[in-house]
Amino acid sequence: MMTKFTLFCFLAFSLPAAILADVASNTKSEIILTVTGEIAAPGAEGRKMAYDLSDLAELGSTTIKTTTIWTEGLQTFEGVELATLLKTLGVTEGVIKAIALNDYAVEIPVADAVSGGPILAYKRNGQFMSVRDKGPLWVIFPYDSSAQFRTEVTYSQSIWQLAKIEITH
Amino acid sequence: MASTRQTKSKYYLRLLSLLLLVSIATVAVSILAMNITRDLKLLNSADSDNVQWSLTQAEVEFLEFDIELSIASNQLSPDLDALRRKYDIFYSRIKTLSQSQIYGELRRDAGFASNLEKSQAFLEAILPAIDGQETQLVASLPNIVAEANAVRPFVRSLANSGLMHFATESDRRRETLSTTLGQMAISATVLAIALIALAIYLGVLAQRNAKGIAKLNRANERMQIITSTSLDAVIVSDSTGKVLDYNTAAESIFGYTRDYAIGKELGELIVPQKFKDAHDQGMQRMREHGEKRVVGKGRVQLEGQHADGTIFPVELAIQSASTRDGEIFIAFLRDISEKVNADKELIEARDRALAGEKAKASFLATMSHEIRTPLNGLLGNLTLIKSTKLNAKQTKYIENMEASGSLLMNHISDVLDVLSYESGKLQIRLAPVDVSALLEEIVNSLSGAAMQQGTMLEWGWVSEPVGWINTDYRKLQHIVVNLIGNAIKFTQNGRVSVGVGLVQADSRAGELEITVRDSGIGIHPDQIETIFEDFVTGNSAYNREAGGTGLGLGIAQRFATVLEGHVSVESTPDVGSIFKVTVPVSVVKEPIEGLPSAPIAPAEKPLDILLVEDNEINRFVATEMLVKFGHTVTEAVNGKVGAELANAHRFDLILMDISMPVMDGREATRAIRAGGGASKDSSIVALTANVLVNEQEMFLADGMNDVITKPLTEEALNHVSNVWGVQRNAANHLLSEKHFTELREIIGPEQHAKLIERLSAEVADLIDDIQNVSSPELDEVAASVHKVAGSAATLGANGFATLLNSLETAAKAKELAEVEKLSGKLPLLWQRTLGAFRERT
Repeated sequence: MMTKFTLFCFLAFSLPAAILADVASNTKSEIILTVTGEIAAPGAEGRKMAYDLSDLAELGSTTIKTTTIWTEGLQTFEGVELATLLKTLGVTEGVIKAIALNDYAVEIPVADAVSGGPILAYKRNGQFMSVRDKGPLWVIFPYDSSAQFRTEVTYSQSIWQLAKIEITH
Repeated sequence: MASTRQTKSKYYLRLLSLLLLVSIATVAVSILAMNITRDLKLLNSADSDNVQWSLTQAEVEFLEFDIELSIASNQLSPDLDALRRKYDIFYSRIKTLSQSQIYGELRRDAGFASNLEKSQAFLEAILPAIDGQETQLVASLPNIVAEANAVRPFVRSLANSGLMHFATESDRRRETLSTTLGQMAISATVLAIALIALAIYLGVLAQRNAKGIAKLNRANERMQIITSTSLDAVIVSDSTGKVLDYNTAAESIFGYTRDYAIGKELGELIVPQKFKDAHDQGMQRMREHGEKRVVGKGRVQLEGQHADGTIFPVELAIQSASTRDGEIFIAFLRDISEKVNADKELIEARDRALAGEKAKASFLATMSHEIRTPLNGLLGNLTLIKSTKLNAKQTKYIENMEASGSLLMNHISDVLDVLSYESGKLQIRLAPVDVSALLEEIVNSLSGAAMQQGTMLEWGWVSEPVGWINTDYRKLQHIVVNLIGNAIKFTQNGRVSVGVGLVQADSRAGELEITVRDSGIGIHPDQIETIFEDFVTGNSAYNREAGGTGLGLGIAQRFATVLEGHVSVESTPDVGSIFKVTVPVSVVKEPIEGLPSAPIAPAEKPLDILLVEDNEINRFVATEMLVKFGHTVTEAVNGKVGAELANAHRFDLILMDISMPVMDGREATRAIRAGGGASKDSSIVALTANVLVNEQEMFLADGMNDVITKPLTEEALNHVSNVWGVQRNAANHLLSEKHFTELREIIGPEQHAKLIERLSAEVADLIDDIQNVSSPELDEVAASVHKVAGSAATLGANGFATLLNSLETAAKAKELAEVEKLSGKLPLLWQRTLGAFRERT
């Protein structure tokens, strides 16, 4: 049920966000994610990996339809699975440390990065996400699919404005 | 039964309420558990995220933006991208607070909402500058700083108000949880108590149940012991006859083991082959119509079959009972082979005894008769000797011999009287009797004997004198003669007085009492009980003095009995005895003069009578009597002459003496019947001194129609002439020749013979049934007589049928005397009818 207030908020913020999306698509080559640490993929050992939106989109596109505790109504997220990303980097064990633009950091065990698990979402409801709209990357779990994704730990791991990943053993 | 049901329903009620309590407690606990789970879920994970961190983060991100803003304000070429990034991050945070459902509750808080609104207004206000050209942004920096300073306290309050809210919320949740947990504890306690109560109650029930089962088991055991120790076979079956139980006695009686018998069909097991159909039909009747012929009807005697095929008598009682599995039958059987054998032996022994008794009676009768005939000869010859020339001594001897002979004759008569009484053939002939004349006659005849004893004999009325009474003259005479004779015998030089009185019940009936009082030796009290028994005589010391067979009083008592009266005695030794005879009589008018002892009407029509009698005096007397009634009499001196006369001339009635020289009466009768002469169908009536029934039957078999006993009386003569003379026509038509022959030709000799046989059987039954008939049975008699009459008429036995019709009429009219009279004629007429049948086949 949408209250008058939330309706107001939605109208207030949706217009500038759309403008920003266009900005983001124009600066597609901009690096939005860097990955460092225990990378085991041949030829990339120990290097710092940098990804722009098209790089990530090339890795794969997985869609999750779910509600979240931070949004109103059913949302459609599109992104690359964390598992896919880690697989390209040859990471099979350890912990990844995800760091946001506001320096918020959270650890996600590699073991949790499974198929059907978290994705690095770059589109919400068909639109790329601006920073004001928790973009450009947002770690999303399929919350509606299982109660195991509706825990405080999972919510804390649902990091938005993701910028960096450090992989440790 | 009713109380058990009540107790049971009480149990169920208690159990039900306990179960209800447990259910309610369980539901309560479940609901509470669900609430707790929900609350825990809310606390543990749910939709909370780290909200407090997010709220403080809003202030932190505002401050970071503020710091970046100060740095940019103090530089000539500030890092505007960094500033924009910090703006975006704060923007994103505020957007989250205003949109996320986590803060929905919080947003309803007026303070929070106001602070949030101010923060949003700030962001909106500086948005055009942030998104504008760099120069424009730089130019706006001082303005943005001012705006930031103005909004800072609100952003801080935003975080704080949020914190307050969540702290309160947290407290409320804890409290709710605590209350729920408390309720849960109470419910759990109630549940536990209810469960314990239920457990205890179920325990009590189980114990009670166990006791009941134990009691039932004991009862069953006792039942088992009772049936297994029963001497009678006990077999239980269901309604189809299948054996359900079979006790030890049944094993030994029927030879099958219990294991073998159970489950078998009762009929197959113990019912003999010949009764199996009847058994099956009985079972079927019971199943289909519930008809029970043996069940519950007490003991019946049947036959059972042993395992080895032996059939033996059993006594059987069946009871039925309703059980939950349907109706069952309990049969109690007892092998009564021994009892049946014992009964059979007993019956055989009785039959032998009876046969022996009969043979003895027959022997006695024959001997008596055989003695009497030569005795008659002796006495007759003594009479002849007396008319010859004798001296005084010889005369004395002859007188002695005559006295002895007469005495012997009396004894023989006594024996015959006893025999005929015992065989039930002692008939009474009621006729008007002048009491005074009877007494006078007896006293006169005995006064000589009294005189010899020096005893005085007298008689007189003790009541108002009575004229005529209806009784059996001969029997009453015999009784009184006997009593007075006895009194004289035991009284020497004394007195015997006879008192006669009538104790009148009403004007027509009363009891005649004749008292014989003597002053003789009396009877000892020890003997008084037995004096009426046969062959009992007085004290042996007096035996020789008094003499006698010991039958006198026995006969007197018997005669009194057939007259429906009795003889009693009182006696004091050496003082005397008093004998009293009492018989019921009816007072009658004096009969018409000229026929003093013949109540039957005189001859209805004059008859042509043939009298065959060798004794000249008897012949003379009889002729005189018959002529007096108006009949014509032809005399014959023996059977041969009689038969010749009968063949030559048709007589209405032939009176035939039995014992005659040349040809006796029986042979003469046979000759007349077989000879085909003129009188072959005439009535023939025997005249005989023979009182034995057997012999009388033989006469009838010879073809005689009736028997009258000597001495001849007018009454008897009148009677036979009336009955047999009148029935002459019927006698002529004993058989309808035409009818008889035709029927024989139609159905053939074999069937005809069978019909005759069947009629014979019917007649024999009728004759048996009609003997000693009593008034209430007359209707029954009429019915059976009617039936036989029909059968007789069918065969053309007109004479017999006519007699039966008269008999039926009399029976319907309840004339008992007439029925007795007519039924007495049945055997003879039937004999004749059968003879007629034989002649024509």
